[in-house]
Amino acid sequence: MSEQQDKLSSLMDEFSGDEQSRRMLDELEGDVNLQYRLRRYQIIGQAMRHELPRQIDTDFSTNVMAKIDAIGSCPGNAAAARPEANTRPSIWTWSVMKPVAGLAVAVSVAVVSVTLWQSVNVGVDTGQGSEQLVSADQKKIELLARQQVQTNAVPVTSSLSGGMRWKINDSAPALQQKLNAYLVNHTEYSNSIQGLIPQARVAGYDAQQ
Amino acid sequence: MGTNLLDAELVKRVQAGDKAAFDILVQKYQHKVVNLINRYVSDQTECYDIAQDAFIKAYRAIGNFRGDSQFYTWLYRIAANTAKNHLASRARKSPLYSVDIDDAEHYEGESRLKEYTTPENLLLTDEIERTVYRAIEELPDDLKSAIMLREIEGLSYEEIAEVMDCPIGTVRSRIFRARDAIDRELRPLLE
Repeated sequence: MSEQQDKLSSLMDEFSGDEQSRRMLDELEGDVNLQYRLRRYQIIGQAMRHELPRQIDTDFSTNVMAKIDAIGSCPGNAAAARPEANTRPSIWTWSVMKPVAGLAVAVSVAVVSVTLWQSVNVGVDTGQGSEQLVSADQKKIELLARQQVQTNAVPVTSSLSGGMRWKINDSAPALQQKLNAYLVNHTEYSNSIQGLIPQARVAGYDAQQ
Repeated sequence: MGTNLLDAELVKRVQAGDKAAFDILVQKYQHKVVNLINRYVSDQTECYDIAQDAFIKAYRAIGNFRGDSQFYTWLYRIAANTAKNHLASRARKSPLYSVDIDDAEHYEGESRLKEYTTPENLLLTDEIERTVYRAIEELPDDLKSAIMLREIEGLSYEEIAEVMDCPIGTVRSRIFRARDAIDRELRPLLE
């Protein structure tokens, strides 16, 4: 036992060979009494140099090791010691992700720019086109107006009595037939809910004809 | 194997999963770490709390310790940063520390302080120092000189042998016997 304590004293004073130190460490780890002795030897030196803290927690190392056991820490888990490291991507990831992210942003900006440019240009073009269309429509209206003026207008009235049908004077039965056919064919475009089911809709039905 | 090599060997063992080796490092450096933290925080209870956190952080991070610096400088850096973070955190939480005078007796910090200051856990340094120096005074002169040259002057065994004009083996034996004699006086205080 005395030889062991002598070796412990030497170990503390850096006066052991590598192999002897390793053997001593092995013994130290398995012997609590030897650990306590080492701690007392260290306290002796610190007391002589006045290096001891004002108060000494005799259970300090026991508490530290108990806490380490309790939280299940494993050595090498540096990320746990530096929480910010968990959220920071690795150098490799960042070196790859940086150009990809940059490219993605550039492509997005380009797409938005082209889309906006096109819509602006289309707006300008449609302005011109609409002018052309308006002028074309205007010509058509003027032409129709002129035709209306030239032809004798036929008085037309609509009536919902006895079904939806057009009432035109008897002098133009062909026109009446044509208008009623138009009504039947286009009834699905009416605002009524029935317009949604044209196949179930019977419009312009006239029981007399 | 010098202190640095001894630390390196202990660190290597901890990195291999040997917790007992870390326990030895804690025992070796606990008072130095507490003294360092004491420069930032005067309250002893807080000092020990911070020191505990610092050792736990060191244990978690020791896998990344590559030995580019000495273990104790690395450990001291962790301890200093932990103390600074604690101070910053305390500054942020300072409004919580204000306790109404009527609630003072129920203040949580007070119970925590009491828990740490139980006489079973804490010993006054003065008492330890008195015991150690009393034991040294009772030592024979050759043992007293050997232990003083080693612990206070920090001389190596070779240097002590030269100063005392004796073989290194004798120095080693004298230092051990001096420690053993002081330890017999100190043990009742620490056990």
